[in-house]
Amino acid sequence: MQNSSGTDSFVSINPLTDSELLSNTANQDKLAFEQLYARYSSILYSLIMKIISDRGISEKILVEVFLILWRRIGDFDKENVFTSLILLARNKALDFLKRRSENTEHPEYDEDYERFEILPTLSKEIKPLELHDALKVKYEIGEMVKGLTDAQRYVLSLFYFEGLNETEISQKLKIPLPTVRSKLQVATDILLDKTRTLVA
Amino acid sequence: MDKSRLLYLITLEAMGCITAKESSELLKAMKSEKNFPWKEMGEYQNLAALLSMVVNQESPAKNLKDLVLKEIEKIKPESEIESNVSTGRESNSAKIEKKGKETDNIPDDSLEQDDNKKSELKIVDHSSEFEEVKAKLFKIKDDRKNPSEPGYQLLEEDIEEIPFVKSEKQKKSGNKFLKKRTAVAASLAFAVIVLSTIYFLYFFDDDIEEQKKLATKETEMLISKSRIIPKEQEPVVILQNTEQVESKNDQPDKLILLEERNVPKVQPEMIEQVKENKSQKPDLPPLQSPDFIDAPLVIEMTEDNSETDADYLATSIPEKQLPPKEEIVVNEEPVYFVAVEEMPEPIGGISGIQKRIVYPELAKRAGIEGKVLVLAFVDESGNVTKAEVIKGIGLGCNEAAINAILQTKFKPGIQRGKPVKVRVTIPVTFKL
Repeated sequence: MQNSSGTDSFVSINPLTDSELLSNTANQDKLAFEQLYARYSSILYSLIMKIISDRGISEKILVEVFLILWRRIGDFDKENVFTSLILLARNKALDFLKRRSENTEHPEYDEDYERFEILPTLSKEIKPLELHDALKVKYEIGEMVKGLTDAQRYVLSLFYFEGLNETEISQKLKIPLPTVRSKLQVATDILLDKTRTLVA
Repeated sequence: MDKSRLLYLITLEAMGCITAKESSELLKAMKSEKNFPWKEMGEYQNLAALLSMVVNQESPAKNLKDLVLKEIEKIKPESEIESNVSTGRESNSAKIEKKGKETDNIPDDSLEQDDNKKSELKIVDHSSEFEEVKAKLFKIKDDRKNPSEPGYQLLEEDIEEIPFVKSEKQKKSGNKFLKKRTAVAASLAFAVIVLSTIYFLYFFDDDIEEQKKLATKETEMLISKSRIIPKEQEPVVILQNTEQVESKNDQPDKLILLEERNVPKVQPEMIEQVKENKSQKPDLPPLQSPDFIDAPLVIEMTEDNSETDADYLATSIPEKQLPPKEEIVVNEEPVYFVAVEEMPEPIGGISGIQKRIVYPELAKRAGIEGKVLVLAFVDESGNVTKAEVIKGIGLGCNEAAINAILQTKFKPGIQRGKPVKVRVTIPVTFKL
């Protein structure tokens, strides 16, 4: 909680919004880039760390994420910095996990792969979110997730933090595929309903 | 496509667990479906992003920011590339104009090249380097050869020689490069002489041919190892050596021969450098040769006769001082004490380590608790150089314990008032 209040004050001192910072970064404004780093590095790092559980590797991935931001700034959705960056970091970390496991074939990591699979393709209609919006509802989101049943939460975390696909989860938990699907769908629908009221 | 299927794909995509096949299915739907549920997709994506807020916040290492900033210096963002292409071309064409005074044919060619490579910035850059090098070469060539020669012919020659000249561009390293080259050539020559003299003396009646082959093979091995002498010169060096198996004095001649062979390929500056180096050369071979000569010479002398030689042998061995080297090698292996007067202590105590533990998700879910015993190697400055699990409980806990200990700074162990390397066993408790 300390963290969120700290970041809030930082945001209020700094009048520029995330998307303004991103547009400035697109014009090679290194200061804007630094500010984006200052705002997002810890949340992105925490997320990557949660997925990878290794400091060294997580830091490397974090660096990669910011390098992708700098290199592919033209491909970013200027209005949705928060969602883009979070999903980018998540995808990058999960991609690392998948590549590390040996039992599956990995597509080649090239320009196109990074463009379409690692960079999130955001919806055409998406409500812009900023980091400070998200920080405001942080507590509520925690409560929301706690409100799920244990099984739902577990399946969701296998999807979200371990990047397993539905077949892998059904094998791992030894439950039929449709059950996995329904768990995921019910869980996300509950969460979605609640976030609608939250953000609105 | 069925809307519920679409929504499910969208959910999977947002949650980051979509397979490649499903992903392409979704992409196709995004392009073709008229009533694609964009609004829902946006909601799911925002939800996925918001879910990240549940993780406990921690900050990355502070120096990481500098690393990122350093790295982005090397990368040009997409928008910058276009502008650079144009400026790159301008400067290129400027150079071409200057050069146009000297030759008429080239500018057209290189302009064409430029047009072909518009899209690729890197190649354009190279071509500008290329131009510089060419320009240099022209100067040199003009100085050296008769200026009446047509420029067109020169161009073809030059292109072949470009790799050679590029290495010269860095003059300092080039200088070293030359020194090394001449030194290696000299020492190789020496080695070959010595080997072949021995073979002559010992195997005079035997197949000299075979021995020669062996010797040349050895030198070839050496050459291929060092890879410093261009391939063309290898046979020459060897031939000279096998023919002139007489004295050490012929070395300078050989080196001059080498230089002469270089002349057509090398610009005058380079030759000057070689000549400068030449003044140092007489010192170099005697310094290096003993290593090659010692052993065979000794054998010769002892077999030949006389006690004085034996004395020489006796004195020469201690000079080599091989045994001390071995001792040093032994000393380099770090010795970690087990018990010292003052054992190392983690700064912040055991609870400090405990705080650094990141409880693995897997163990948390499986409800794994217990104790991991870690053997930590603490050096004189209190850093943990190595950590091993003696007894673990698995499910990621062992790694988590090792990570936590590796990050912990220790108060070093003290023996007789001096900090020493110590290995200590540390229990790390995992409790939910």
